[in-house]
Amino acid sequence: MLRFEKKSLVAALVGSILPLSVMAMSVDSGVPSDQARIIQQDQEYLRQLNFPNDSISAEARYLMGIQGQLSSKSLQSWLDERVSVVVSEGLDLRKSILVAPGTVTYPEAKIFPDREARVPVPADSGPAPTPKPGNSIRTESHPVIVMANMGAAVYMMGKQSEQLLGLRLSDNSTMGIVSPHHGFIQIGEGLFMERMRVNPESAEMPANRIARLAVFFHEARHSDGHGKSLSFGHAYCPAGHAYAGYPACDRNLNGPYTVGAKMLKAMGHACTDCSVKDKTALSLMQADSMSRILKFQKDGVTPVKMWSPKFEQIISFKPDHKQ
Amino acid sequence: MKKIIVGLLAVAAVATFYFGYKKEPSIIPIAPELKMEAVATNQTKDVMPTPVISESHGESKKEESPKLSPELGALLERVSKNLPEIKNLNIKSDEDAHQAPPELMEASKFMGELAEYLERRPEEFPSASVFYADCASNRALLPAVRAVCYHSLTEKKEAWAPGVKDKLAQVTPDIIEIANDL
Repeated sequence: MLRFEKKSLVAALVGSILPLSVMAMSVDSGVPSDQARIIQQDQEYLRQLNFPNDSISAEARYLMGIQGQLSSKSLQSWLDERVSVVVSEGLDLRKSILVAPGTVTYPEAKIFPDREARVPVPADSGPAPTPKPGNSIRTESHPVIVMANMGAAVYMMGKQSEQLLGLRLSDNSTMGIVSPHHGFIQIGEGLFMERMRVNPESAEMPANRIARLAVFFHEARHSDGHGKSLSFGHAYCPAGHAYAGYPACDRNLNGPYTVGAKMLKAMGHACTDCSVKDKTALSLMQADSMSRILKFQKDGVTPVKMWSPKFEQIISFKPDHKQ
Repeated sequence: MKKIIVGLLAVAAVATFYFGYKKEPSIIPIAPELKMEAVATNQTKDVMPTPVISESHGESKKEESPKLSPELGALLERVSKNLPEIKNLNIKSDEDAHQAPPELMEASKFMGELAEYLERRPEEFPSASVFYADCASNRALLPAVRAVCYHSLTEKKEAWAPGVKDKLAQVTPDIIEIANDL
């Protein structure tokens, strides 16, 4: 439920309207310490990767809109621009989302991404097989969160409701969602589950770091876009696709699945301590991402294109002082 | 006159030689002893059959299907059993579908094991090439798996077993496009 907060949120939101500054990604105190440690070590691993100046790097650079050479520094900057804070799945967003009393002006106010009609899931997708121990990411009661870009979703909620929304973090600080580019990323136990590891040995193996980082890059892409391309939302996979009926495809050439695939390829290529087994597994993940990139629009004829990654930010906010 | 006849005969000989080589090679007949048999498994019929090659008698070496070592045979059987089919994916929510399915992650361990085995024993690649070709052309499997199987083949064209090229003709362009980008 949305709550009204006055002074602290207004102050935070007014401050947020200042030009977005790039700060290093932070991890909310509500994230379990073991998860926070792994996340931070993953970032350190990225910083020490050495990317050769080759066609693999060039392609990733082009699709992600990175100026200059692809390097650990440019990639870290790219992430930091799009992810402000990592929060836990334990953060109850219904209680943490705040509304700033006032008048907000959004850019392209009436322009939102096209909403696709849901494609029916094939009837013959079959009953779930008897779950083998650890063979499914599902628990008995609910799907497990791996990672989700809630910043883009909350920004869109605010734009649709013509309100300025904010988020209260675990330490009671507040963060105004004045742009999807702020990026707050929610992580869950799914990101660390043993069954989801590329290398089963331990979560700290380089191949597992690469896999988690690729998910980060995928989610960070959702922080981009404006108007029709806002949040680089997924498309429903069409009939006949392996994931038909689910919003698990992209109808563009530079969306989250492309970014994730290119980063898996580039980081796998740069990994000097990944085994043949690791690289095969990373290739499978890369191929899976690429299989979700649709080549044509819904008419089946018009080729898809790259979307504009230019991001939105609110134009103005006038706090309501009539309290 | 004699010279003309000799000349014509020479031209005819050259033409026969040239067009004979240019002709598309006919399918090499496989001796009855070289039948590929499917090994029965406990899985559904759509699971990859493990190729079993009987003894050959008198066939020229280049036409023989490669012999399958017991170790590779056992490994291929394990891999086959764990290749994910689209219809058997346990996807029940949008969140489930958003990332690589657990079935794919599980298969990656076995396919990785196969890749490592062949790295150590490259002389056995021809035997595995049959498996990879069957995998790449099996439309029941997840596209990601098919693409990696196809990619594994394209890197070692010189070591393909007989018949692999024909099987690969069934691989669809979308799979080839993914494989080429790996």
